[in-house]
Amino acid sequence: MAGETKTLGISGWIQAVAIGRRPRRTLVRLTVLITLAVCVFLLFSFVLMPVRINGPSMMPTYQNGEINFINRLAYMNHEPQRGDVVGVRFSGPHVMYVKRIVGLPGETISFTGGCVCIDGKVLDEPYLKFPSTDWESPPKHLGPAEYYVVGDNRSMPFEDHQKGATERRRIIGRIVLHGQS
Amino acid sequence: MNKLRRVLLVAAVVVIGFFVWRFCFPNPQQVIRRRLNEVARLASFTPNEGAISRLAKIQRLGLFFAEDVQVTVDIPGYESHTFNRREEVMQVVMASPRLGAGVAAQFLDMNIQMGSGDESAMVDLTLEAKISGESDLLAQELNFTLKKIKGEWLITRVETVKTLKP
Repeated sequence: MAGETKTLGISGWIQAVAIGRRPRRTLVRLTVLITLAVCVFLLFSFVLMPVRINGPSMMPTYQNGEINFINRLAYMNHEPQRGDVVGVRFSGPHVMYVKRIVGLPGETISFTGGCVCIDGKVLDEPYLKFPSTDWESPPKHLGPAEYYVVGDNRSMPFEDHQKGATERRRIIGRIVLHGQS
Repeated sequence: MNKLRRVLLVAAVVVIGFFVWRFCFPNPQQVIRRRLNEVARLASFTPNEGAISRLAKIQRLGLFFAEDVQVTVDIPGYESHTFNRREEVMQVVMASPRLGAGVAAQFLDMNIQMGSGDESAMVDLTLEAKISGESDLLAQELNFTLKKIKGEWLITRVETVKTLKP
């Protein structure tokens, strides 16, 4: 009959709102959205790990409270290099140190007059903005899978600054965003 | 449609049953995880928490340790120290100056390795603690050894782990 309108029940109304007038288009959009969400989840869970810098040991390169990312695939094809800023995990990925590698496996490292010495030779560190003149430590020989890491803020007292040799298995990746140079 | 509904119903019952089974009959790792999380909760205090409540928590904390527990603390910048026996550990905790402030402690990234016969376990974890009034977080990797004594998982050894060896 003319003028007659069909009223939707509740289920019909829900169906109309959820699916829309073109179900196929809705399905495509939903598939794209879910695929995007899964990709973002996988990216930030397994590749780019977000980190929040806590503490002053990497200042001024990285500020306290700053957000950055650790690239977990950085060392797929090569080993960590001197100068790399890396994440060093504790028992798992939730807490880690963010430090710079200054010593490589097999080397002997020491601090003399505030400078890093590798096998007796002073290391050139152009990234240092807060150097030290009084950091002193005896030579330490690194094992075959050990790297020496230290922060960029050398103006801190030596004993307050967390630094030392770490095993290769604890280095989970390299920091992505470059800090202030 | 009826068949689909039946399949979905059976699947839902199986999934719910699985989680109920896990809750009612946890495996040793789950029990250890729960006990260590309870240790972290008992070691946490709010700034305005009363002295009686804090002491009650510390006393309950003592029940998670074996009588002959050994706690070795070796943190860079401080002298290494080993505390033997539960009473000594509890005395040190009670005398801690930080007891006056609020502490929020949690154990993260627990890696549990069961010993032979599932009667002992070693747990590698990270302690993260926030002291009220201090901006920096404290983080320390720890190794726990637990043994099943008279049906209860008790901590027999705790030692600090040097993530960075100076």
